[in-house]
Amino acid sequence: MTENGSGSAPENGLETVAKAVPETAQEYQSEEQHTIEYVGDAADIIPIAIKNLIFNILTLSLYRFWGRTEVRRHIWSNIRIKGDPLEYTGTGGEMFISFLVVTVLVFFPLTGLFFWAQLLIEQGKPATGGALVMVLYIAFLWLLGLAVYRAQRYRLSRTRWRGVRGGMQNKGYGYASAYLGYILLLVFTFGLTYPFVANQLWKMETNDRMFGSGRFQYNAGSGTLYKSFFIAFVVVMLFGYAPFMYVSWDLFALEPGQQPDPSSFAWFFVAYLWLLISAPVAFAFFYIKQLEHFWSNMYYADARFSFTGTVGELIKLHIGNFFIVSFTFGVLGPLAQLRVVKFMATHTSLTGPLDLAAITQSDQPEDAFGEGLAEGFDIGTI
Amino acid sequence: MQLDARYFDGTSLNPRHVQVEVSTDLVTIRDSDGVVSSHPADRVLLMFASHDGTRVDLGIDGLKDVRLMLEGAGVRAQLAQFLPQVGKSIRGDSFAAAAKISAYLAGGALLIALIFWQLEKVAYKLVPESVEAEFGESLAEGIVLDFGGTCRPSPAEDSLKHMLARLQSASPDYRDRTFTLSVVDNKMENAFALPGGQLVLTRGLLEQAQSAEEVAGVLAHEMGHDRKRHSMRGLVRVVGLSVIGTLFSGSDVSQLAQQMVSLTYSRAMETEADEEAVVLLAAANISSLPLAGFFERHGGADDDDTLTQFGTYLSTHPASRTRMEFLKQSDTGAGAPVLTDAEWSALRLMCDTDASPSER
Repeated sequence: MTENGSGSAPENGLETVAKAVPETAQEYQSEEQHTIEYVGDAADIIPIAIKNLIFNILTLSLYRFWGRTEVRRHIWSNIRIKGDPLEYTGTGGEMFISFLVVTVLVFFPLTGLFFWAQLLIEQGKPATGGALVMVLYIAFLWLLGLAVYRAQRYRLSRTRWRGVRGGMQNKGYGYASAYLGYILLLVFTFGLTYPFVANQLWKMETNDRMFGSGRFQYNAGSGTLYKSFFIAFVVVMLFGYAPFMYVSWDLFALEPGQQPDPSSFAWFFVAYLWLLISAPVAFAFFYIKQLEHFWSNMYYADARFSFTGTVGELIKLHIGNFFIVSFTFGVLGPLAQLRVVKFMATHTSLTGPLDLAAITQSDQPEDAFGEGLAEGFDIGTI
Repeated sequence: MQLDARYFDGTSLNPRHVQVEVSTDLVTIRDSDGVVSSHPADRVLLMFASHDGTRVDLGIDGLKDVRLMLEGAGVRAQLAQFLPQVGKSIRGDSFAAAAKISAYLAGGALLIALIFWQLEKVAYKLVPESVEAEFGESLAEGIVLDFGGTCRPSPAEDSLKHMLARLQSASPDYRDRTFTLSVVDNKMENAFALPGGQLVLTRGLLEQAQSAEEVAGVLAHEMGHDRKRHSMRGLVRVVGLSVIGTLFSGSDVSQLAQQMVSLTYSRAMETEADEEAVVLLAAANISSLPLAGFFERHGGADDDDTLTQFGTYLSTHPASRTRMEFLKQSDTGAGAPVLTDAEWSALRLMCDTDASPSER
């Protein structure tokens, strides 16, 4: 008893620990980690990339649909969630067909209308022709939004994990209209509303996203993104754009026929190079915040994603990709895509209660259409 | 052979632990309650296999949601003894499949090219002449403006009309055609035939020409283009090519191919127009030598230089030695001069309304 009394302090401490254990255990239960990882060597994709190059040359680029499919199959299979791989079930054939359909039904008529509009202008009907061109530009922007949505919808519907596939809840017409509106807003505000626009579009996409019967959710606002956006903006203006304008002022002020001073030419290129390097770096500080914001506020069912990448890693990733793509004239493009996926998979985690038993197959129809629209717009997708 | 596996069928993302009984003709899946399902061995698909062969995911043909996931040292090799497809590469994944697809696609592309090549020869004929005339008119309106507008009306223009009339009346092939001739105020030496009988000459061409016969030769050449409806044909071809070109990305390849194709065609067209011109000039009793001289002045003399030869080969108005020789050999001699000396000097300066002839 006395021992108990005198040694009460450590024992009390133990008691607190013992008391805390069940609580933490329960917390651990709900804070369950669902591992997301990328396995395998990035270099494994190089033989596929080279094979694609050869066959693209042989087929005047028509093989690209099959090549892209194989690249995806490879990348998907190296992503492991709770130890099980993702499976890509799309085919090159369906992508090719969808591209043909979209080319004939959408792009040919649009090109024809553009031609007609130009003819109208030539024929001295600039008002009618100009109006038609405006309508066509609007239609193009709308279709671009639709293409973005449909490409995502297609890829999700072709992604399976444990036999269950993903999907998008809508057909994307609403998204396309919103996309059009937001892009116009972006143009009229000189890009200053970018965080808001990006956030709104991410919200629309995410809330439509599904995997099996489970929904994704994202409801965060864009307020917290503005600080880093404006800092990046001001930094680029002050330290990148202002020196560039200062140095190139002499060149712009030249009279026609006047020879520029060689040293001012040299300064112009230095300033230009500096702008090209400093702007992406400054915006990387914003972009990493945006990634963190977008992913850490996204839920799947009741589990929450989080993103932990640092700006240094992001810059390293993109500088590496720049050299990989430019030094191989795009041949190793798939390696660059893989590195982005690997970066995301490595730095993303999913935590929280996830009732896997309750998640059943998606009731969304398996998209018959491929990514013809996205291909037509040459959207750089994986 | 019996193996442990995890089983999924789209009703849950939690695995069901099952035993798989594998033989060369049947795969039976059992859990503690008994048989879950059983499938013919040849309907089993390989969906995923790890590099080291310690993990295999199987699917069942026709049952998209079903997955059987097996793990263990050598599991792929074990399964392959009964299910040979498990030992092979994942479907569509092999070099051979890629080669097959490429062969089909290359064949398809060749077929498209052949069809286009044939269609191109007739497609332009489907455009009604009235449509072509209207189209040519609006096109000429724009192009004349692009080239600095027409020269101010001048009495010397009548000599051009006489020239045109002499050529037209010489051949029944041209007699009923309506030509519209415009002279544009542009220093460049050029002439072209737009759809629907729209002929355009530049001020530079008139000023640089050595004789009225040379202008008549150029005119006959352009009339030849018109009779063969070359510009309409060219238009149809460009549209057709760009339509086909959209199938092939990697724009460098397709653009180069398009350029090569259209240049080959334009060479053929120039030759065709020369042939027309020679016949027309002979019928009108005008020598074709001045026309040869015109082409000679525009690059023909450099033909011995291989590099330049390649250069002119790729230019839109190729001037080859063969063409010139053809024109010279086909010459049937000259009849009455096309214009009098006075008419000719007035015509040369018809655009130069501000300057008197003595200033030149």
